[in-house]
Amino acid sequence: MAKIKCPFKASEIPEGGAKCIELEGKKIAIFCYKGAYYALDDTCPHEGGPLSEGFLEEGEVECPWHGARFSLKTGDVLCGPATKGVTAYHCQKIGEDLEVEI
Amino acid sequence: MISHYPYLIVGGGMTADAAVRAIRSIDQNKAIGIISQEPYPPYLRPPLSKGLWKGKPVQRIWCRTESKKADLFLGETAIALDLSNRRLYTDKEKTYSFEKLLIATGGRPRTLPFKDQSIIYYRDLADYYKLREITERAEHFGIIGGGFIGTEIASCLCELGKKVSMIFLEEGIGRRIFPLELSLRLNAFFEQKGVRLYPNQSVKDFRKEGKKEIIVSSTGQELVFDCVVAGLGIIPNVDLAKEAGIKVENGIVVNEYLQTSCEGVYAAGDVANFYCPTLGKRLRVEHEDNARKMGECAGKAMAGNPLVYDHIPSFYSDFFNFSYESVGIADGNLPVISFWNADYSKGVLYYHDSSKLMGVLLWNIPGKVPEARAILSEGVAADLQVLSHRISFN
Ligand code: FES
Repeated sequence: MAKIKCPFKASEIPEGGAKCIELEGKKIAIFCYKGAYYALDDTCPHEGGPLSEGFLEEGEVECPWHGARFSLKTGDVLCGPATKGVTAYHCQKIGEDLEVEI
Repeated sequence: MISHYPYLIVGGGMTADAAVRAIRSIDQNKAIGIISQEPYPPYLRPPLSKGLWKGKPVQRIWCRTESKKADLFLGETAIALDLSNRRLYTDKEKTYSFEKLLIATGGRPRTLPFKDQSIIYYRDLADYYKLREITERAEHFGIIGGGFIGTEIASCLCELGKKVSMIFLEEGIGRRIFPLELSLRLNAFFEQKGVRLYPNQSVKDFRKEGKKEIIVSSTGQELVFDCVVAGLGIIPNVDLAKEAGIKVENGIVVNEYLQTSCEGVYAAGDVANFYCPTLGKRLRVEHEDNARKMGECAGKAMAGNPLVYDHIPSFYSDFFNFSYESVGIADGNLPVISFWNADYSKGVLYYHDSSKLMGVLLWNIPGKVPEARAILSEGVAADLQVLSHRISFN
C-alpha cells in the first residue's frame, strides 16, 4: 500500500461535492461529506456511472445514472441496481493536502 | 460568421453526453459543440417514465455535459449539412464548421393522423412537465400503446391513484417483446391493479369535447378521458443525413467504427443502424445502454481512437413491482426457452432463432446482465438442457 498525495488541495472539493482523479491508473472519486474526506472507486460496478458526479446523502453516494447507493466509508452497495460494492480507500487530510492510501 | 468546432455533435441526448466524455478522455483541449433542438441540456431519459414519478427530483437527471467543456447550443435545430465544405446550418441562421461530426439526432415520436393533437406523445422532458401538471387536476387517463412507454406511464399514473385505461394493437401487454403467455399474464396483473385494458384494438378516431378527450376504438367504443398519452415508438431523425447524401436505411447506416458513409461523420444512438457481430445482424436500438455505449465508441473514434463496436445492447424497464432487463434481441415472435420459479415472480427467457441464441430476458433477477451477455457471446446452443444450468434465480 502506498500513500499518494492528491494533485489538488482539500479545499478544492466543496462540502457535499467530489472530484475524480486518476491515481496509479485507477479512477478514484474523492468526496467531502460533513467536513470529512472519503475515497471510492469512481466507476459504478453496475454500468460504469461516475460516482464523483453522484449525490451525497446520509453518508452515502447515489450513482447519477441509475441510483445505486454506496457507503462512503466502506464502499458497500446499499441499494441496487448495482449488486456489488466498490473499493474504499483510506483518505486523510494532512494540512491542506489530501492523502489516499492505495 | 462561422463558428468552428473540431468536434461537432448534432443532438443533445445521452449519446451526445457519452460522446463528449469519451472525447474528453482522449482530448482535453479541442472545442466541442453540441446543437440540440431541446431547450434543456442533456439529461437522462429513462427517469421520465420511471424515477421522476417515484420521488426522484428533476435536478438528478442532468448529465452535466457542460462540465466537460462542451458548448451547448440549445433550442437550435440543424437544418442542412454540407459535407463537401464540412458545414452545418441551423434554423437560427448560424453556420458551424467541423472536422468530425456526430449525428445523434435520436427520433421523434410516432403520431396518429388526427387533427386535434392534444394527445401527449410522450418522449421528452417537456412532455414530463406537461403530464405532471395535468395530473394535478385530471383523474382519468387513456394510454395508447402497450410498449415501454405505455406500460411505464400506466403504472406510474396508477400508483398516483389515477384511473388508467390502456388501448393497444396486440393481444397482450409488451407483446412485441414478450412471448404470449407472459404478455397475457401481464394483462391479468395490470387488470388486478385496476388498469382497464382494451387489447387488440386500434384508435379509429380522436376528438375533444369540452375538457374531455375521446378515443373511438376500432371496435366502435367511445372511451372518454381527461387526458390521453401515447407511446407508439419513434421515427429516427434521419432527414439531415439523408438530404446530405449519407446512406440511410432504417436509420443512418454506420460501419463497425460507427462512421457513416461519409468519412469523419459518425452516427450513434437511436438514429444509428449498426451491425452487431455477436448476433450477426444489423440493428437499430432505442435504449439508454446502446445510446451511451455507442456515444462513447463514436466519441473515441472522433478523437482518433476508433474501436469496433461489438457491444450487445441491453435494456431494462420497471413497472409496478416488476423490473426486468434484457440483453440482445427480445422479440415476442421468436421461439423462447423459459425458466420460471413456482409463482412466476422470477424468470429467465432465452430467445432463439431455432439454432442460435438471440437474446436473454431477466425477469426480476437483478445483476445478471453480464452473465447474460457472456452467454450470448459464447454462442451457447439454444438447448433446454444446456441452458437449465446457466443463469440461476439467486
Ligand atoms: S451505473 Fe451506477 S447505478 Fe447504473
